[in-house]
Amino acid sequence: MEAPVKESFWTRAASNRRRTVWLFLSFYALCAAVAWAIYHLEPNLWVVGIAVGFALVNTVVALKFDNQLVSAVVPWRKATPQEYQVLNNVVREVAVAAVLPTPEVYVIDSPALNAFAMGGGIKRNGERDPGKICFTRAMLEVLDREELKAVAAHEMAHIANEDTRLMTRAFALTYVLMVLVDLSMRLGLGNSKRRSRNDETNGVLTLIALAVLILAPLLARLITMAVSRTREYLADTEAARLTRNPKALASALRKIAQNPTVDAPASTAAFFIANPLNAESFLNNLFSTHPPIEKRIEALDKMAV
Amino acid sequence: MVALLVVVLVLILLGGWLIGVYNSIVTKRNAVQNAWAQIDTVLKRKANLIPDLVAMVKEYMRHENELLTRITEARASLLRAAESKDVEAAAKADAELRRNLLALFNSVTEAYPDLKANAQFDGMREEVIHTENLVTEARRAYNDHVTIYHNALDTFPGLLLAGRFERAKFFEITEEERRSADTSLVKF
Repeated sequence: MEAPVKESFWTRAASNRRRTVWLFLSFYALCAAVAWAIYHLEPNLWVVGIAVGFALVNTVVALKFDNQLVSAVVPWRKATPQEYQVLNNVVREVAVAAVLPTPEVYVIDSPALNAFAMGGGIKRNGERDPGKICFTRAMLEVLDREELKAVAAHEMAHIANEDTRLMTRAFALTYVLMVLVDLSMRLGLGNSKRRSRNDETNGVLTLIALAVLILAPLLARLITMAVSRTREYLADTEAARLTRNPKALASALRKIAQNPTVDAPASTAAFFIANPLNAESFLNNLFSTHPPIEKRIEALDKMAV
Repeated sequence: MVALLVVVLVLILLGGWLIGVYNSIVTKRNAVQNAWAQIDTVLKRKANLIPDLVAMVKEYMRHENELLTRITEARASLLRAAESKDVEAAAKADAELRRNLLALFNSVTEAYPDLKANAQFDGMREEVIHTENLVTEARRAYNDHVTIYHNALDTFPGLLLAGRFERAKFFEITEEERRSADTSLVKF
């Protein structure tokens, strides 16, 4: 029999999942705070109604068509088993390890070192979406078989955890908040006459409400990025479990750290294995979709037996 | 009257709880079966690879027909075991086949070092490594699910219903068999 799974895999995965739940709860709390702020400043509920309706339509569009949207902006093509034997093989291996259907495999002609996954979960017709995994061509030249498999396992974990859906939801929530705040500002909230009961408390509350509205989009972004980073750690942990080889992922990340930049829209950053945007320009890790690669490597090294 | 209501309520809650426990064990048992289906698929894949492999190396193998015979035999018993869902026999036949494949690759590459540069041979080598990896992954996933299933049966509250469930068998071979079979093919 195989060596038993190291306990740390499961506990780490569990603590990452708990973190996601807390982050989403704080997201909803933020939504509630914004709703209260708008209501406090402008008790006319139809303003809120229009904003929420508008945001919901956008969210539904984003959730329904994210697949086509990515296909439209990313110049990928199918990696045939004839042309990309090893790549297809390692993806099939990690799918078997995860006891999930084998995802479709794609490549991008790019000198950058990166990979991303999307899809997963149950489709509306009850079938499982096998998802898609995409590698840049440079990855195939630079990584050895074990490293390639480790990266495939990381992407497989994103598919198994349905992270595309989760992140799309997080982005959509951020978007809802931004639209809410933007619309309420435009519609001139706070200009209307307030029912004045106790002017002093009311003044303080109004200040708080304004502060909530101004800070909400920023906080929402911070939470979204924190969710994304948590999911990256989770996918790293799962990849280590699937391959029983955290060292291979660590060494792949070391190589990727040298050149992860891909010519991709910033909004798709969360789906890559490493931040595809220029990491140097992000002075503040708080706004990054990915944890610093050194920290991920450190965490993986700790898992290595 | 109130006491009766309380008793009925407690019974209903208890019943619902037991149903929940039962269902969660069934889910875990089904996961084991699902993981077995994967092993079945990859073992058949492995068996199907053998004829191609044998055909390819035959011209290099005039003096080692004995090895080819053993491989063909191990392949047949692997297929039989997979067909009859005999976990122990399948694990044994798989290890036997793996050991002989290793010997085959060993002797062929020793006799013909140039073969490593041959694209067709290289492609076949990758397919063999891939299939061996698939067996390893499928076995690992299966054994993990068996462990999860057995843990559910061995701990409270699953313990209460454990008698209603049949235990699964691990896909494993003895330590001795493993020592001779578990050498990585990736080295070749």
